[in-house]
Amino acid sequence: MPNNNSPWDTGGGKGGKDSGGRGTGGRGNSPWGSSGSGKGGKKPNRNRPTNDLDNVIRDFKGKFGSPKKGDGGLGGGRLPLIIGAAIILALIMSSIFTVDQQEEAVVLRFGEYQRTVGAGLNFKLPYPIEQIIIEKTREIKKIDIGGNVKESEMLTGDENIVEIDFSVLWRINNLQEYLFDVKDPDTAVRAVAESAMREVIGNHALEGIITKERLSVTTDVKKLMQETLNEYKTGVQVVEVQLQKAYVPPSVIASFRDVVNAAQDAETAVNKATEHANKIIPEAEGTALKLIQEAEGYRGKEVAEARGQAERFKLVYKEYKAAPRVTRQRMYLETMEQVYEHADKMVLDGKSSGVVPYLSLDELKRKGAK
Amino acid sequence: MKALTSVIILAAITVIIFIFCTFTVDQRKQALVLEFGEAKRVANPWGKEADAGLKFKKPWEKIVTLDRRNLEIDLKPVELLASDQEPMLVDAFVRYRIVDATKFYEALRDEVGAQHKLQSIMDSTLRDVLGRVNTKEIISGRRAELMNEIQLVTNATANAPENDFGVEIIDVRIKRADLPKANAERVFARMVTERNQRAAQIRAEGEKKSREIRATAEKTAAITRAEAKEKSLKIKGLADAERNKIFAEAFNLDPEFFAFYRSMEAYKKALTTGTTYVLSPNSDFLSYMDNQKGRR
Repeated sequence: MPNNNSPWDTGGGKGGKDSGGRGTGGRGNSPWGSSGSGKGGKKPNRNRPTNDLDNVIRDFKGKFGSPKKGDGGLGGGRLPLIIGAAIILALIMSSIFTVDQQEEAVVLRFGEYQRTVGAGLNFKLPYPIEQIIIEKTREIKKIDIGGNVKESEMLTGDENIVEIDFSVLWRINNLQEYLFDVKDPDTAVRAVAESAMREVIGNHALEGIITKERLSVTTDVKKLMQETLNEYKTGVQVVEVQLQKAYVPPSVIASFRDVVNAAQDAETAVNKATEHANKIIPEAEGTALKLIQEAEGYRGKEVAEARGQAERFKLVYKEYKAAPRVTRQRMYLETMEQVYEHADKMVLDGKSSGVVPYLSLDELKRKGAK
Repeated sequence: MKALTSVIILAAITVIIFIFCTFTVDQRKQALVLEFGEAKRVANPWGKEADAGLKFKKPWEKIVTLDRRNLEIDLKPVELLASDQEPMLVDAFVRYRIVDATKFYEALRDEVGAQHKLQSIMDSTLRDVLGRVNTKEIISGRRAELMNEIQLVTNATANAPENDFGVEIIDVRIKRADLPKANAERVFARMVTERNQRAAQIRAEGEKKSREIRATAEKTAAITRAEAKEKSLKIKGLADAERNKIFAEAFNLDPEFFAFYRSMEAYKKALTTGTTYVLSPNSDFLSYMDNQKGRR
């Protein structure tokens, strides 16, 4: 039988699973449903839960609703419980606290110092018995002082005015002192810093402050601050004092720059003079060298010429020595020949006094010009 | 039921006693206990070991809490005249501590009262102490010493019988000791003129140095040239001497012939074209003119 209806069966079975679920739900007495066995055995289970589901919901509603209905009965016992739990929770909450790695905490019992605790999860008696104060003891704090005329301008040891802006880096190194010995230690650090800086600046001359004594100023301020803060028991350690600005006020800057310029000008003048010196001295040396070379040249030339002429004379003399008369005559005639060759000449007998020789100077000149 | 009621009542009474008969003193505070306005005792007072925490009192006692720490008063700037008649603006701060809570409460009541009283005391103390020294000493010379003196004077005044504030002046520090605005302007003017002077001096020194360098160089050059001239003249002189020596050596062989020889040379050079000669027939040159045998 089931095999005959097997297409239905399977169809119904599928339908029951998928969409037919709700439809078949109404027909509880479906023939397939009852005849189904084996595979079909699942189907009634599918159908039944729908019935059960209603019941479950109803049941659930009933159960859900019942405490509400029964509230009046049970409430008297539960409210104090809840309040008690809340109080216990609050006590636990106020007994546990965490401290960050950067921080330390002190525990006060009725305001009295009990202990200092470090990072991690810590316990204390609940409020109001014990209270805690947490401070960042590892953190390095920074105060900037200056930036305005009132705070920046300071009198130097040589009664000039300098503008100083500086920063102080500090941290808590004794939390107990920091909290219990000084009121408002942060303000104290600032006031001490101002006072120390002015005292140190008052002991230095302006020139040094703005140039090479900057470092010694900061170390002096640090030292003086630390001494004072230790005296007050602030529990503060000054880590560093940094000079941000150390220069003269704006109204005198121009004149200070002019001093720098003056130094440059002076150097320029000296450089120019040196340049000039470097030019004229070698020039003079050159001239000197030239003069000496010339002289040497003159010497060489004159001496050589003299030697030459002397040598020539000696040679001529040697010749002359061999035949003095003839040579002398020859030399004389040769010379005169050469002299008179191209010249105008006139022969006058000195004895014949009858003739007055007339010499025309004009003509002579004209000839000479030719 | 009766038992429960009595428990509740008992608890209430305990709480009330607890509220009215205890008080806490913070580590940082000291508490003055007043009975109908009369100071009875001080809890956690300064000068004794710290004793903070939970304390008991009579329900009608009143508690006044005062600080136990090192306290600050930031004074208002005071304008005063230093001994050299230079006005100065002094801004100081005072650190003090309440050492006798009863006296403090009596004389000053609280920190605000202390601020007022100490401000006026400091005003006159600063004027007194700093008015005796000159500006230079305030600014640099004896600042630390003066602050120390001011502290001592203030401490003495604050604890004098007529004041008796119950405080200890821990420190007085001059934060700022500056010149008033008008005087600062004068300082600026002086700084400017000082710098101008300095600049002028530097320039003049540069100029001087430059001139010195130039002059030295000129001198060196002149000397170099002169020395060279001297040397060259000497060389020339030597040359002339040598020349003369050479000539003398050669010409001394026969001075008479030298005279003749040199004359011939000179005629050749000197008496050339353009000269008109008037010759005498008696001259040696013309000795054969009239006479083929010659005159001799």
